[in-house]
Amino acid sequence: MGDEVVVYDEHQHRGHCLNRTAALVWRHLDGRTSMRELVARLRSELGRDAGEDMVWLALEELDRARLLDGPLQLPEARGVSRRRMLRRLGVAAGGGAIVLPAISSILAPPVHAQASAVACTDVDVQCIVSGCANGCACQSTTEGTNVCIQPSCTGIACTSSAGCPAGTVCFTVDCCGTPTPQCIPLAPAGFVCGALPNLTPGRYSAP
Amino acid sequence: MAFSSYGHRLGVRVNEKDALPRVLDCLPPGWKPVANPEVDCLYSVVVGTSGPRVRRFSLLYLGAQRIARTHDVDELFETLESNLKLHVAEMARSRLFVHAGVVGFRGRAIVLPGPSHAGKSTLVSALVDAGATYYSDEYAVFDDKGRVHPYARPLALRADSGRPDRKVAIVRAGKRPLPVGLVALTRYKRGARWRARSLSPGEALLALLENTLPVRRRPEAALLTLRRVVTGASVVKGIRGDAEDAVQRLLKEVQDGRS
Repeated sequence: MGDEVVVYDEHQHRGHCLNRTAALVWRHLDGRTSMRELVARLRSELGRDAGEDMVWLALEELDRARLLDGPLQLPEARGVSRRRMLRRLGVAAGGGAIVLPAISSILAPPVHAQASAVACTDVDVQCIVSGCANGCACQSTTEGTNVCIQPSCTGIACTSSAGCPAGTVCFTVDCCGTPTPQCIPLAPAGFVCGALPNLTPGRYSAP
Repeated sequence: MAFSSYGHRLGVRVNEKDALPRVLDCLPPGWKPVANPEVDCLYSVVVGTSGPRVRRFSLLYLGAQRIARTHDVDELFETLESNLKLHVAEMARSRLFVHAGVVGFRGRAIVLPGPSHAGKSTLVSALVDAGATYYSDEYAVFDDKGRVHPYARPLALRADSGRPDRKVAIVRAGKRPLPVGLVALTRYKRGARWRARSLSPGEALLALLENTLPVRRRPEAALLTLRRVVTGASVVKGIRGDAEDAVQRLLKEVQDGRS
């Protein structure tokens, strides 16, 4: 995609977008190219400010996204913290010529997490699970709609369902041990909530 | 009965013939009956009967797996409809389904990706009121050229109860596939002003991938199709307030993108 590279990891079901700098390093990771050669190639593409620190920073990003074979081992002799590397690279890139290596990632949601919500009418009070089919609970969202949810707390605080991850809604009832609203997974059509492990009666469990 | 939808063959059987008209209402847009009873998957609807002392559950099975057990027959058919649509969206061989609302405007499509409860139907309805052509309020259906096809069913707006029971009559429904002019990933925030930024092609592709149904099953095909979608489109992401304000911004984005 232009200067960027989009990668899909079929094992983790994660998508990654590598910006130009991260993509350049990733493209040259063939197991044969030395650090010196990599820096030289980076400089020819990005300019003289690109250096070894930038390569290490890109490698750290790639390692965090699990796009490397095996764990990354930073050489001890370097003794440079990520923050210092960022600061130094930030100064070097102050002219605006260099973009720091960056990777944005998403988790591809399973199909059931993308299902439309199942509406319900008998809202469960006091965290008792009975209002929906298959052992799922009926709860009101912060938007005032009643939907079937899985009685499993995510711990993600929210103010509205639009701020929750895909497949979850924001609900207000204190069933997750906190008085603040939390995102909670929807129970799409056909989902069997009764299979959830360690469900505490009268209180929704954390996964 | 057996039918096909987007290249996938499905069957539904019922224990009461009176239930058949309700099954027909649940079938996904564009279904076609098929004579051959051999199907890829089979749904079984068992409508529970009630007597003076006994109230039997209504049941829904997909193959041998029970997927619903309820006393509420309406809930049973809602489950069937939702499950059928999701199943077809995941298994379709000829199209790529992305969770999104879609309208057409001046020969281009505006695609509004987002999960359930993200306000897609409200925004689609407001865009149609402003003169856009209705394509879908649930799925953007892409062909391998990256064009979006209509997935027209009655536009369903949620009532206060959460049940999608307010159906909006569709005056202008699209018929032809359209190239995508704008993809807008917006999040509703009460009282907020429109605040959106353009995404790079890679970021845009990633954002669409997050709403793509068969991404785990067919990642390579999904990436190829979505690449074509974002290549010719503007992609913005941000926060929106009320639908009326957002509509004006979106239409202006499409017009600016064309000029």
